[in-house]
Amino acid sequence: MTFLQPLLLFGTLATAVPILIHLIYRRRALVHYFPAVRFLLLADKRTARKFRLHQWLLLALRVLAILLLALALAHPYLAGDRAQAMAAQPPQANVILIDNSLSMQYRDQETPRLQRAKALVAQVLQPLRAQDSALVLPLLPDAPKSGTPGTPPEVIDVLSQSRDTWEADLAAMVPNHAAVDLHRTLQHAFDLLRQSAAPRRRLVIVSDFTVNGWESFHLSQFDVLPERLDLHLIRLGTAERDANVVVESLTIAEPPFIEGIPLEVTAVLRNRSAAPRRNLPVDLRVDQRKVGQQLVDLQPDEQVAVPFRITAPAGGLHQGEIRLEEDALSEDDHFYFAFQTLAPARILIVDGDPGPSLFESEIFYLMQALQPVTALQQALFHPIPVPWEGLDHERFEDYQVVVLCNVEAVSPQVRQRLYQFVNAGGGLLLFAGNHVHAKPYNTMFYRSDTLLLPVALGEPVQQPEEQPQTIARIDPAHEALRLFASEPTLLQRSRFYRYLALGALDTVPQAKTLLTLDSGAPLLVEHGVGHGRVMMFTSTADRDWSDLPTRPVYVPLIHGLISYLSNLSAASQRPNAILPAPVTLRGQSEDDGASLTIQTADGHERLLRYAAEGGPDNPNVVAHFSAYTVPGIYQISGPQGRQDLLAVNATRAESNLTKLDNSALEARLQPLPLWVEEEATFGQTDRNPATPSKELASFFLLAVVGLLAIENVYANRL
Amino acid sequence: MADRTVHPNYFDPLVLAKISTMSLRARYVVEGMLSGMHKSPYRGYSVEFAEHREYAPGDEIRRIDWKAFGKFDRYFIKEYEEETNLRATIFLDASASMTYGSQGLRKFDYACYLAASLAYLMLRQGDYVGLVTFGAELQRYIPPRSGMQHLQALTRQLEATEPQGETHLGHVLQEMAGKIVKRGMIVIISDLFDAPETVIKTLKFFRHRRNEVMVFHVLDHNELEFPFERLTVFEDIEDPQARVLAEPRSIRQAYLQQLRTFLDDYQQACRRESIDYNCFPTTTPLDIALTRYLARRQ
Repeated sequence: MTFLQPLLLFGTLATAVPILIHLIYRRRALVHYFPAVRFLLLADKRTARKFRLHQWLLLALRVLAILLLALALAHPYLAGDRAQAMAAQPPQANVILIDNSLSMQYRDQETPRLQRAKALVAQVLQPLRAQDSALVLPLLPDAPKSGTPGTPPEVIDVLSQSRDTWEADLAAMVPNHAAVDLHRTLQHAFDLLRQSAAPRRRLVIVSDFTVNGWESFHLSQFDVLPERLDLHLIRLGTAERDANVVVESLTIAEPPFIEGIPLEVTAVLRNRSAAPRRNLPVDLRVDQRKVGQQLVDLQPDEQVAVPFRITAPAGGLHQGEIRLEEDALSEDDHFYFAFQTLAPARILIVDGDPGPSLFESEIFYLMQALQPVTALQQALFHPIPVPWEGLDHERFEDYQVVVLCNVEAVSPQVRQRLYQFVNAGGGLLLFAGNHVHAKPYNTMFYRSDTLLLPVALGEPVQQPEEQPQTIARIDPAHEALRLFASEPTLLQRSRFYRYLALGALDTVPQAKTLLTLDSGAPLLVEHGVGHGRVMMFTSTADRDWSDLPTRPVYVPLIHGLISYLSNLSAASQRPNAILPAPVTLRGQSEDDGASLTIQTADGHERLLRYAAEGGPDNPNVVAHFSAYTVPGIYQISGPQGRQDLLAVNATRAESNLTKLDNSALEARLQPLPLWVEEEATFGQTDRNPATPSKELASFFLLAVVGLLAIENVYANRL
Repeated sequence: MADRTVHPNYFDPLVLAKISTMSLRARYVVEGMLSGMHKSPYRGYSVEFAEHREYAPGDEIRRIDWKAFGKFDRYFIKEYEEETNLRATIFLDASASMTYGSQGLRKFDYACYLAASLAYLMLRQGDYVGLVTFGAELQRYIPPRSGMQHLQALTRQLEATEPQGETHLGHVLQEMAGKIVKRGMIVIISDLFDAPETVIKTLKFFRHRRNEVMVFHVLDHNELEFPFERLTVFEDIEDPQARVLAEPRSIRQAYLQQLRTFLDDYQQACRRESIDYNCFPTTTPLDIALTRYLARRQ
């Protein structure tokens, strides 16, 4: 026997009352002087024992009545009768949906709600009989994942009568970061129940019933519902909104991230609570080391941006994390990110026309553009000037970019080494000038083995002084020119008096014209060679053929070109994903068909393969990944030993812990009869006709009434 | 048990209690009765031949009826009316148990009214009346006298007597048996809380000596009905060591059974010995008591 209100069993202490009354009553007997005591003495001999027996019997009746009353008030019931009552019920088909969304990872009572939900479902399954069928499903099923090795065949859900299957499905339930798709899940459940031949059907949903996924849901969206369907909802937690603070997003200042240069990281926090948070610690960690902390105050429902300013670490891949003081839903208290820093790009500036001073050299303006004016300016580049005669002694692999400014010629060895340099990923920028002649250049660089130029150079074109060429068109989508994408007219003010003509570019598939003059002649072209890029500027780097170096746009233009050629854009934030959305990893053009390995944050390995997508005009080599496990930093190992990082963060769609109360649930689930049960009182009121519990309180009260009637009659007879 | 409507006025013991002296109370009772409040079938007495009785040692020789001797060859004595005037001795129980009373009247008071009324009536008729008050011992003995002046002595004694001690009627009767030699009437007014065997034995002796014996068994309403409800410690008036804690409702039947046995024993024993036994609750009007007496005299 069990009691619904066991605390009321303390009422059994009231059985001491009649005993005390009995003792007190005896002490308060009257004294009466009576002449015929002899007859009482004679009578007492006969009746004393009988009297005492009657008195004890009355006392026992009164004590028993009080005891039974106390037991009745404690609501006793026999749980064992459930199985007996259930045995007579017809078979029942049960589909049990467990909410495994991220909000169910909320920890109250020291355990995640999903864990407690599974325990509740075990209790729901326990009284089912051999003739009942059931299926345990997650509310958010796992979608087929790309990148999962040996993807198992698709599993078809069926109702089963095997308790082992139910328990196995229950044990396999894991959190899912996907968004809740109630319609799809319930449609699936309804289909299963309709297909069942069982005369009784039940759908159980175990959830915390946050609003996520329920906003636009209504049962009227379904055309057909299963007949004779009982809908049983079990709520974890309460209908009150749960407090939660979340790191919603993160931004890093504009790349490139150059080592030693200040870097700003901004975390956006939101307090999804009805109570304020004071002095909330927010940590910034880089490479698992805390590099910054701030204490933040948040009003209810307030969103704040928390900036951190750090010095970019040494060149390389780095992982970062914004971490809050963990609350009950800790999965959204972290935000992971990855970035790459680079050392300042080393630029080899080859002076094709050196002068007695830098000012008189071909490379003066270029050097000025690439060097910071003051020590406080960001040192993105490290330009190193050399006269063109000294090229033989330079190691090109020590640089990211080589700029040939009006260089007349290079030795075959240099040419070969230049080609290898570019092919290996270096950048080459060629400026025209009076020393650049078409025939020797075409011989040097427009060759089948060292095709550093996409087209052959032509003869210089001289413009009249009063009719200089201006830049008529730019390619705003090009990374090197993105600074001018919103203001393309800035470049149009430069005047060009002389330029080199180029051959037809439209026959070269990989060549692009980035800047075009009024005449239609290309001013700047680019094409890829191996892993590197080559740009040809058909005018001079100095003021000999144009006034571009004197224009303000000269510096940002040069910066853009050099940054692009030195691949400084790699010094940026690495790929990041918000579960469960797939992420696209871009490879290089030669990676088509190559494999890459991703190691998840918890040590699992995933194998992918790059594939070419897009048309021949704009081919992209990509790999799609969605086989996530847990949030964190994933390690990517690509072709040729390339390493990268992927930051994976938990979904923020479940961070709003506002709940639907029972009336809201009923409104959405009309017209089905609804039974909503709370976790705290689960199992205490059993409305399932298949599992009635035998309550004993009424029997106890009936016994009390009977005892009191007997006591009354017996006492009066005495 | 007598259970009749109590007449008002002087027969009501509670009314009598308001009258100042015992003699006056007795007078009211008797005169009231005689004046027609009762139609009692009694006659006066004359000094005429009443009857023969057999000769007993001690009788005067001159009173032997020789004619009867010649006829029956046995000695008989002539008794005349004047010789049938009683010599009554009233034994009044003045033990502590007689102090008990509910309804506002002690048994002893009722017994005194009864004794005084009987004495008055008998003295008025020319009888001789004596009085014995007793408890554990003989307290006071007033030999029988006649005349209304003797009533004063009797009533004074009644008023002066304070009941106390245990009830030893049997012992007192035995003691008085030697003093009461002439036959007459023995009137016992008591609650008889003594060993019945002893009492009856002595009364039997008096009967053997041709005395008339009347017993007025005076008991209180509570003794007869035991109407108690609450849990009570009953303590004996005469013996404080005897006490009983009892739930009255549970013990009532057994008590009444014992009492009934007690009363039946006395009643049956008295019947056997031709003793006039009368049980009188203190609520019984005195006229009934006297009527019974007079009927007996008839």
